[in-house]
Amino acid sequence: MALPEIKNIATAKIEPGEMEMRDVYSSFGPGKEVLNNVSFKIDKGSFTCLCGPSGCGKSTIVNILAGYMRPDMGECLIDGKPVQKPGWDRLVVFQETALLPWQTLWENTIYGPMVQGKNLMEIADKAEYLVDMVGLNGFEDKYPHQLSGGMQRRAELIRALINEPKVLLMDEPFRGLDAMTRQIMQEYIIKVFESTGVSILFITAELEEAIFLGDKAYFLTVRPAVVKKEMPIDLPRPRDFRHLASHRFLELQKEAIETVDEEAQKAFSALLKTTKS
Amino acid sequence: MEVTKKPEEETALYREYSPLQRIIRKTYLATINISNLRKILSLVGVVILWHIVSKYKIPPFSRVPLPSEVLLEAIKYVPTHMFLTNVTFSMGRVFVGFTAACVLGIPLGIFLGWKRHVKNVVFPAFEMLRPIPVISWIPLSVIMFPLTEQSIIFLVFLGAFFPIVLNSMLGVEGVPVNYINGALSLGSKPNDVFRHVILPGALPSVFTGMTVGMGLTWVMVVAAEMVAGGYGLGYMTWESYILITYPRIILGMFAIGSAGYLFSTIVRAIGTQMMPWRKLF
Repeated sequence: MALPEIKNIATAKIEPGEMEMRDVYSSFGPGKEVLNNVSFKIDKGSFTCLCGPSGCGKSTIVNILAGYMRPDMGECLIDGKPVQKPGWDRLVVFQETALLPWQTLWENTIYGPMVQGKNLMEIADKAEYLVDMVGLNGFEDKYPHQLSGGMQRRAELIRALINEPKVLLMDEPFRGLDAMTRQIMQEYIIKVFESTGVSILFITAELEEAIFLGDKAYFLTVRPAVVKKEMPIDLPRPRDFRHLASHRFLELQKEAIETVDEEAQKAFSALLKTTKS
Repeated sequence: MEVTKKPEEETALYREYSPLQRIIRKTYLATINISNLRKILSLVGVVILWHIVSKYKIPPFSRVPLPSEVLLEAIKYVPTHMFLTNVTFSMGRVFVGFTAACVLGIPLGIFLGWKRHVKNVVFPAFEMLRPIPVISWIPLSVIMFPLTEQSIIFLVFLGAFFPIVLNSMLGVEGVPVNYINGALSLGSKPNDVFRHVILPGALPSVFTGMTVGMGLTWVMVVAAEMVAGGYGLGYMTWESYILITYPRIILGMFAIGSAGYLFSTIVRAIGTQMMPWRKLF
């Protein structure tokens, strides 16, 4: 199959918002702390990445930001107001697809505006535009399982974007994709970010991905998670694959690997301890 | 066959058929092929085996009638008014009992899966009754209802009710939490979540319950008719044993099997119709 061409999407501007987590503490019961005073900020119109070892509580952070979970302590703000319940001002693009299998791509895309009671005639134009933008035109009547993995992720992206969210929360959205599809998806997400201007929180376990995509990266420790390091990424925008080989990229990568290596050692020795006892 | 004039390499590959010829050819290719012949061989094999064991009176089959005797009995008995009545009665009982089980069981199962506190109250009682084999309800249901018809329909209902409730409940519980969370984020009210996420998400499992339940309704209707019924395929089969018309026993068994198969096919067809997104799996 020929790779779909990335269209120019300069007109899909979105009013971005900012989110902040302040000293959030969360646990599944005594001795099962997941987050231990996590604080970070998603700046208005910026691409923030969150990196951490697997199982460190990254998904818990997304659940709290989205409003599916309440933190035990601390607070979570969107544009200065506390998060109360799930809403379409901050939308999650899930690790596993959350497209409804019984709705066609088109029905999935307009699902948000439909349940919000928006005028569907107005929405149709926008939906058509978005479908076209991610190269899914011609697939509107297909069910999600008829689409490839990469197409499903793109569908998920426009299903969120049609609601004009202030912040897009992406929870390891490219996990499980093959290297080539992943690369295409990274290119798409850069395009979407640079042309819509939406704020993005991108959660990933891959350091290179975080550095390549983000403006700022936070590194989390092993469980219970604390923000270990905040690293601004000063690679120029618009970004493309040439930056992957640039000198600055390699420097940042080295710095990130050193930060994470320490955590990896800790995680490994903890693992050894539990296996010995 | 007439071949229209075309460039040489094309005439070698394509032939022009009239629409009728095309239909005949398609049907021919779809029916007469090696895989279907093997399937027919399997069926014919069973009949031949049956013929041998009953012809030569190999022990447990020594009193089993020959296939030919059953066929003759079928030709004689199937067109009669009596047979039609028996079929109608059994099918009617299954239809009424099964419909009642669906009407009560599907909402109950979905409700149990949807509201945890309701499940806590209702489910233990349900689980206490469920392991009791439904056949053992026969004497009780005869006492419970004044009319035979009512008790048979009740037994059919019970047979289908338990698997339908259980599977509907599991279907709701099995809806991935991502779908619900995603829908909530997009602005769904609980009502929307129920209609667009829970209900379609549970549907495949509901139909599994219905298919299993449909199988059990035929077990129940036959058992109940053998004990109590004045009409029906189960009664017909049992009566043939009493009256020593053995070929009719086997005819009854075949009739029950065919009717059960027909009903299951209908349930499956409705399922495929209602879940177009699963057609292409």
